[in-house]
Amino acid sequence: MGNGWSKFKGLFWQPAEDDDDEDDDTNGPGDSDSEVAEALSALKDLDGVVGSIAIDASGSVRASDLPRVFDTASIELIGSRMVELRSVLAKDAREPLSGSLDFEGHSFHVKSFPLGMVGVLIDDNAHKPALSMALNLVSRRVAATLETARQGGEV
Amino acid sequence: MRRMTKHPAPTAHGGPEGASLADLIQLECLSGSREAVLVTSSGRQGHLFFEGGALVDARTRELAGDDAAFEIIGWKTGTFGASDLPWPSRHTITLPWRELLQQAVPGYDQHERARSERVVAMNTTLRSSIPDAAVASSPSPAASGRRPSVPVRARQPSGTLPVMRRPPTPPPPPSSAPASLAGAVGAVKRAVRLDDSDAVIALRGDADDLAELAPALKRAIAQLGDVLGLQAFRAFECTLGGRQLMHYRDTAHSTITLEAAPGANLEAVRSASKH
Repeated sequence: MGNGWSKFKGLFWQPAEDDDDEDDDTNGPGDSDSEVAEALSALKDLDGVVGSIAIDASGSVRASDLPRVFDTASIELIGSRMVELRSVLAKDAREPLSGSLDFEGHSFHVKSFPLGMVGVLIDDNAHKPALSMALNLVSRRVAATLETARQGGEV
Repeated sequence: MRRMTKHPAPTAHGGPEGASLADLIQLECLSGSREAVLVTSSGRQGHLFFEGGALVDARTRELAGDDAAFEIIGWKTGTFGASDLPWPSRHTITLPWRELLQQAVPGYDQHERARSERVVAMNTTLRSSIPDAAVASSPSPAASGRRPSVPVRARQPSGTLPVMRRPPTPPPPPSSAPASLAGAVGAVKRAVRLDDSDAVIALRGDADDLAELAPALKRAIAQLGDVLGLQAFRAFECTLGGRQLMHYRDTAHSTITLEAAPGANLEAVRSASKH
């Protein structure tokens, strides 16, 4: 995992009572998206990660770290498709889903939480156990960010 | 290959259009299952008994043994169901099943034999032992009075037979065959196989819900893969709500969706899906 590990350590979600810096109250609209983007960027430290995307429960893209070959419309469509996949599998969006779509050469891993989903596109060089761990941590971070934003009325 | 039913016809088993009796015999034998199958055709009834990778007994009203097998295999249309005849006390079939099919089915030619060999090889990794097994183990919805909510090509019976079966004398596994196959077989709770038009080819276990889910899941996966620019789908796997689901391309024209026990090791299935 190399130098990426130190970055992942920061992704462990701290309980709310430990967050006493009151940053949550000063977040303006859109700040949560930059936090989500920052969380996603950590995934790039893993070998084989092509890019990632985070969406909210409605499928709106909150941040994306996908390569530029994916234009805005494509990224939005990916968000919609992710939500459709989840809704096919679980009528209750709060039910956590963790899955992977395996194609030749690449796979797409998704993890859902009540307020959204994270998806990661990887190639065959990725170390899947490491990715799984990282995706758990990143999803936790994104979920916490979206929850904070929701409580602040941003979502 | 000759079809058991060339044109769909309403039957007690939901109209198994296109299902082949030769396929049934082949799959039953390759899976090594112990199963008694009732074949009904134009008011005639025949019973086929499979055990240990062989067709061991066949009976019609007038015939028994090889003659009955030839008679039944010769029927052009019909349906499959679970036979309620008592298990035969002795084996009456003297010919190997392949020879029976070669003699009884004109279309069972070199191509079909080559196909059989491929299925044998794949059987050791998953197929006929889990979902591929058109040896479904739950009573057909039609037989139980329920109408299937999805198009049905062929459903096979069971009722009294073990849900998970493994050939007592399986063919030698290829060197790549995963060692955890038995665990994977036992882990699969239910499964459904669909053809390209989303018709159910086979069910395993109480899979009616899965049969409804599978087409939508297949579409959702295809759409997501498409927008991601991904090609050559292999498999989708997920866990949710204590369920472990897997969907994968089985052959060029069929997919399998299965549910396994939570935490089950599906490495054997994964391995099979990559071939």
